[in-house]
Amino acid sequence: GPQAGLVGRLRAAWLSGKTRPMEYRVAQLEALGRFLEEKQQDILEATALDMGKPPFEVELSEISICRSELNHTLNNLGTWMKDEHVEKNWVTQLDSAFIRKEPYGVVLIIGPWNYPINLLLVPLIGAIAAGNCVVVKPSEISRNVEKLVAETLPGYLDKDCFAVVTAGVEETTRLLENKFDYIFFTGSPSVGRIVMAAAAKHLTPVTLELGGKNPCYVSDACDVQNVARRVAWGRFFNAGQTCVAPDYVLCSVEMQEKLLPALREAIAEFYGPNPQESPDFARIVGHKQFQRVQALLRSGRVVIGGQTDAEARYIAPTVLVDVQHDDPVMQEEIFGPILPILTVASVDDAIAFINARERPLALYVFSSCKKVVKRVLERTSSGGFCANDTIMHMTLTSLPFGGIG
Amino acid sequence: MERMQQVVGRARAAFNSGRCRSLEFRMQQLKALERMVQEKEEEILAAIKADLHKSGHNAYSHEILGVLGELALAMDKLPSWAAPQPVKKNLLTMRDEAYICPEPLGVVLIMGAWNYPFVLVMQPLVGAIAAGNAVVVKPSEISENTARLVADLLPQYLDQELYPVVTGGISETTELLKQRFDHILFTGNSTVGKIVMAAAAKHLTPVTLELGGKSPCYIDKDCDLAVACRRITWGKYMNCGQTCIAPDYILCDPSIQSKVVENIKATLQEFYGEDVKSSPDYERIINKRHFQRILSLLEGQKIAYGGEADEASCFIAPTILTDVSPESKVMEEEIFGPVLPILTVKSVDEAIEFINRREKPLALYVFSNNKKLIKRVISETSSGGVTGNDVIMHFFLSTLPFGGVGNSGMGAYHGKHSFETFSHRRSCLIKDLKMEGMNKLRYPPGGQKKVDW
Repeated sequence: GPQAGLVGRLRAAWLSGKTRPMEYRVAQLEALGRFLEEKQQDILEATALDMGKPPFEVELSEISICRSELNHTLNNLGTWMKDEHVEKNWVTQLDSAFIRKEPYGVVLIIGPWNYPINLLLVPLIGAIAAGNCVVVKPSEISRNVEKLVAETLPGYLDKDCFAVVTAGVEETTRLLENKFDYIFFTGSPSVGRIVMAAAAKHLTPVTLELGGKNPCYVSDACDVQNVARRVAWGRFFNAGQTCVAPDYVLCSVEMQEKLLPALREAIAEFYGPNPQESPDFARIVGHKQFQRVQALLRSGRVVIGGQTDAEARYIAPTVLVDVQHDDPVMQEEIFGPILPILTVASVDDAIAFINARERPLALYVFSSCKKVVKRVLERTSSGGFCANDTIMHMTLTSLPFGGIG
Repeated sequence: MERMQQVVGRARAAFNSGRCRSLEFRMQQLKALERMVQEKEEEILAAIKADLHKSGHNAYSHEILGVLGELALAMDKLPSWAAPQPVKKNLLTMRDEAYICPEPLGVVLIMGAWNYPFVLVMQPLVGAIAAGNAVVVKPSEISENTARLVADLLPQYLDQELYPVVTGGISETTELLKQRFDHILFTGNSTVGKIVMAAAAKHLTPVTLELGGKSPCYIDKDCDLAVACRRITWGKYMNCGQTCIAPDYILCDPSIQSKVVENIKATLQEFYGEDVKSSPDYERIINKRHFQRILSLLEGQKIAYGGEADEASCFIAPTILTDVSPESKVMEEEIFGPVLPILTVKSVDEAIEFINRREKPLALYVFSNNKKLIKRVISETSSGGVTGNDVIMHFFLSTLPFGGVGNSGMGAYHGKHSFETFSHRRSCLIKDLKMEGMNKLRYPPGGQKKVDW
């Protein structure tokens, strides 16, 4: 394909061994740090253009996350690179036995459009730290960030070993025909399958960060206002375009009655009486996605929000009730600012509901009763789990972040 | 074929019942497996003998000992392996609980290989059961006696719905691979590895592929040749060369090539006597197809020793080739037979370059008294694993993850690594509903003050 020359060049650079010494990796990581510093304003502008991202959100979810990942990596790289000595058995007592961490070679990182800086750079930091050469492919859907990354990132990094490729669907398919030594992909499960199938041809190991419908069970025993804030925050951040956002709520009829006014209040607290005017509420990334999410408003009944503005790609923070398990809004990951509430009679019903579906990337439980939390945790499966908050398990770097199924 | 769907469906229903979640249940199954290996030792050894002409003594040490070791380890460590692991917290999560919870993946598929037909299904099975999964076991149909035995024995000792054995050839395997699994561990060659991964991709099923390759063996001039050659002889000709981590070929300086040949010859006589064919310790090639494949690799080669063959019994004598050209057929594919090519290189630099021009192997061996040289070879090459100054042995230390890289595979197992391969490490953050004050910093409306903090 058209990128074969590029991949070939990177492979030659890889074989030269230049990415292996710690000093080299540190220098590249520090350069990445400078990119974040110096291009901060450009990042704010590009993300605002792409999806109306509020600067407040960009700081939190794009810039400072990358910064802390960088710091954490730079602080620990020496330790991470060391050989790991293992316990020996009696036969090997006099021998040296250790695990050597080695770079894979030429790594491909495919980024998504929803957190186009964070979800491109955080894997990149790891790949560089591990001593690889990297091809980075930002999402073509977040066009302005793609342009920014393609035009400015290469200037900071060693061009022999790191490249940015811009590509739509066609070109990405061609790109995937090349042999990589590792592929890190963030995006939808359907594209994940395509990536893995392409990887299989070369026996390339992959990490696939996909999505799903993240359930959020709210038990009767809880502080409703705090729950409402945390759920609303997680749901409406980035206008719902977050892979670990609570996708839908399961609760009792009684809890629903309490939750609705609490959610209304939280939304007003966050975004004011008219969220379209709030500088802190994002927009849907593109017209195609806008139409898809807008169609989901027809499921159930709108009790909060529901307003849309196609021109601005604005969909108000919305809550739906009377949603059936087979409604369209329950058939796909919402990835928008819509929160359906489904009622269940008990925690066991909630568990059964969750288990009847694909395992999600995240699972949330709100309860002041530890037993309830434990019960849901033990009887379900998910990539990650957070009790009494949303999203926050992602921010602790000592917790591995990934999915299942 | 409905049959595959039914078997896998039943295993999934059994998994969903939750009965294999408890540690007691898993221990019970592992104990039963241990009983099986102990009680049926004779039958197991007989099956392996029928498949590979392997002596009871060899079969015990290659296949049974290791399984018993893994079982004992798993039963001993299961409570600690399965326990949630607390992780380091940051400022924001100081008051919370944060840990990684190992959980079963669900229904996993283990596809065995024919060369060590018992251990290559059993060892992964131990890890998969310990991790709380349902397991579909598919032994290789090529080692038919062992396959039949495993299919007979497992249901007698283990929960029949949770751990079914599926037998069959290519068409049954293809049908099996259409089903949805939560992990597939495959041992075999790279070509089939690609097919397995492609099938897995349709279901987004993670895979562990234990493949192969040509494991190089570099012999430095500065080493005890007698010892080195004895160890190499042992690793190369065990199981008639049909070992995924056998030293495939030797790289050495031309000045020591003939000494290497002499030493290996001497060791072969020590091990197998004057008449290898009548030694009870020397195995046979698994079938005619492989017999012919290996024999064809000898065409046009300088045979320094061996070369005798007998098709009727699939016997190929331990063979050494010298002055082998890198472009020859014997250097194109994994030999997987008792043929040892020696290629000469003028320096360790040349050896490293040679190795790096080829696909990453499953194992790499280097013999030298010079520790620095060994370190250098390790640092400048890549392979699944390494043993320095011996061969094969890194396989037997279960604290070392065993697996390949690049063409030789992905993922690893043995010991605790098996448990981890077959588990999902679920990240858990448990907060409470109080301390809402802290959260205000992240809620909108935004403001420079909040950003600065």
